Amino acid sequence: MSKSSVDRPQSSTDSIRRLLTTIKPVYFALVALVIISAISEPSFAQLRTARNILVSSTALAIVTVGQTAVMLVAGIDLSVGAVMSLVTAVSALLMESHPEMVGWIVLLCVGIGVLVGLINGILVSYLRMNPLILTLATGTALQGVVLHILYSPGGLVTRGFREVSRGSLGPIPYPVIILLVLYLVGSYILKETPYGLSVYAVGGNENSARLSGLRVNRIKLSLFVISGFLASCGGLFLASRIGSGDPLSGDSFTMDSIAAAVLGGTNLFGGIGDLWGGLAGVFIISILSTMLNLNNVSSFYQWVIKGTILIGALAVEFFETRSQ
Amino acid sequence: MNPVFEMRHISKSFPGVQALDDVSIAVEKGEVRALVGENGAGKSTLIKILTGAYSLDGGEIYLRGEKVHCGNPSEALQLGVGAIYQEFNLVPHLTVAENVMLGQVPSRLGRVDRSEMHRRAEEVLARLGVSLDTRRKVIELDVAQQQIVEIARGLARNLSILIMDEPTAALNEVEAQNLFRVVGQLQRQGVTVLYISHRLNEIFVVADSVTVLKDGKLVGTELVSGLTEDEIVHMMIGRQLTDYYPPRGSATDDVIFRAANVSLKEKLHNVELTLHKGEILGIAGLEGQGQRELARVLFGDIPCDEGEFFLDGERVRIGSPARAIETGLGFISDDRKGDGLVLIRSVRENISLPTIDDYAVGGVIIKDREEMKYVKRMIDQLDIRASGHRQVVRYLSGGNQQKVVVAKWLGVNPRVLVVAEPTRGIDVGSKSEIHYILRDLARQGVGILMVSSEMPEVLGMSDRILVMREGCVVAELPGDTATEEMIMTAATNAHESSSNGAKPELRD
Repeated sequence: MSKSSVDRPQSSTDSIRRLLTTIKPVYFALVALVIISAISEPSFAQLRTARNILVSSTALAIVTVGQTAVMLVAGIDLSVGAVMSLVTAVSALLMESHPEMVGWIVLLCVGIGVLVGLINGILVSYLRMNPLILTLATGTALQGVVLHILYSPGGLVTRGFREVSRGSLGPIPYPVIILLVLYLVGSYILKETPYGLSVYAVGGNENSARLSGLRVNRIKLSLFVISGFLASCGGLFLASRIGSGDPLSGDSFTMDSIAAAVLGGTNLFGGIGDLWGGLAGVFIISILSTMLNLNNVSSFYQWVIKGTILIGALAVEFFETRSQ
Repeated sequence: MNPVFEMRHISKSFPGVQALDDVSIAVEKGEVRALVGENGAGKSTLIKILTGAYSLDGGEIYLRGEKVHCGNPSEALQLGVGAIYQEFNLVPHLTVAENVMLGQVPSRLGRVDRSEMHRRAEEVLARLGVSLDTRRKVIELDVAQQQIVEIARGLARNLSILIMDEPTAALNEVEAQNLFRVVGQLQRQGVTVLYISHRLNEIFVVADSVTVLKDGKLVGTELVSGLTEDEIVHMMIGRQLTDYYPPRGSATDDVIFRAANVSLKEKLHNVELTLHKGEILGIAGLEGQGQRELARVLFGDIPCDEGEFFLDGERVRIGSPARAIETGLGFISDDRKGDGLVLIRSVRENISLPTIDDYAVGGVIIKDREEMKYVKRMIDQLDIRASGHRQVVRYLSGGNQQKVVVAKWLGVNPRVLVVAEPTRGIDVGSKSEIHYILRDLARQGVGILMVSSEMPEVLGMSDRILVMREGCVVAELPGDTATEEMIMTAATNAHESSSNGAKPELRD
């Protein structure tokens, strides 16, 4: 490992190849998908479609941040979908009966998410429960609560609250602002703060992190709280977009957020991954379902396609780690 | 005579590193060939290519005159090539016998033939001169026993080319002697052995010839009989290594740290120790006498049942590693890969890990430049050979990895540094560098508690030596006059049967 062998002069093709290998496959996949979509579906290139896709991606993009965060420490949160459904139900029902208390209702919903995250986090970190099974259990239990509160879609959010997903600041839709702020702040925290570095370290080697003086349990707990918090935010956004409560509206988000994170290069064993990759994963999933809807593909096939894509993403991860 | 295997013009690179550059070796049937070199010289890479664990970028491998291509370890095993690795590849929850026979479990009518399996495992262990209950689970064994199981597994396969990577790293003297005897037996049976070790004296015992690698290149192959240890070292590092150990003389009489009455069920019994400013206190003993636990208790990683700790005469509580660091302690772990480093992250991230909060303002923003300055200074000062601070530590050699661990703890500015096996499995060059760093720290007033199972290291480095046996400190010896015999006498309790001269001051 002499220094001379490291500082070899590089030809330009070398550096291009290096650049290509450092760019994650998910970005190529996204670009390819956009190009294919634009060619096969002229309406895709219109600004309105782009805007629609962006708005319909927002809830998933919010939840994926939390999911990625948890996955960075080799955890997983299968309760996000149920939290979202619960939040749509609670917010829509309460806003219908108490339209003047929107602020308090939002706070309550966020509180629900944080509480669920706290329970998940404490049980996973301090009581060493397996996150996969535990969050499956809390999610299942919560789904029961949702169906008890609201058996079929109902409730109504206030007109002002609907603006969150529909309004815009000048030409820029609120969802775009929400996404940009969330991802910029989130990435900044993960990459530039001691906390973020600790998250990667805990995910990379928990023992080493502990011996380096990191409070491993606290960090893990905090990530589940963040995931719960963001799931409730995602639920609120969803409620704003559909305008009412729906006990099953959050269902698909659990699977989709995991798929987006994995597509984005987040390693299931922790320690590797970032938010922007996950965002690209989110767009891939959204564009794909938009395209499939435009072409009237049955939702059954959409499930098959989503499942296949996730397997594909895992295969990419497998080959990447094996080549190392 | 034709070589039984030959590797020609082997090249292999990893991201940022040319691990092997045009290396050729040829070994004859029944020959024991030692393979030496500093960490990062390419030894591990070479054997992993031979066993099919790595693919090669360029070059050819010939086995008994035929060109072969080992795509994976199981193909290599079928060709009779197998390795005993330094890192254990054991299945913790299976028994000793199951591990030894894994991959060739005897069966009758589709059912595992347990009695045959145990009989054959016992047979192999007997060849090693070891009696070990083959029904015990591997997870219950200590490191030395696990190493023996690993070796037994290699022997059980009846390979024609056996590669041994640091087989004695975790063994005591007697076990190592048994291993050498087995190597001799294998040789007489026509088995070819490729033997990797950092303990150069072993090479003169077991090997016929030695191949030296440096920086991924072949330095040369020589017959052992015509060489001296110094000559091998010279070939390995390209320079003469004069002083393996730095001079002593930094210890003072001021007590910096004291532990009283430390007990941990079945592992530690009323351990008392006093550490002075500037002192290196060696903890010696046979493997598994509580040294590892003691180090971890002092650093708060294992909660002790009883015990009091004093820093500068004041009682301190050390409930967790985080508290220990706040109190002024640092810990270089004996398990570099298991808990010393985050292997998948960069050099920079690893170095900054315990101190990262110091570079933050209000707990939020990294003061990038200061952190980078520290990381770069450490890379220079400790001569960490990496392609840059972004390099993922997994790709570094053992010696360079260990320097990253050291750099990480230097940043903490510890008052007391607990060090466990600081140079396990690293080359002589890096070893000596790390010894000098430790002594420098002591000179700056740091108290160092060093657990080591390497006798020369304990004798060469320590100002005082405590010997442990069965969880108790049984002897205290002065570092400059202690001898290997004195330590071994105390460590093995031999004083009860013999009463010859140099009897250490015994405590009980």
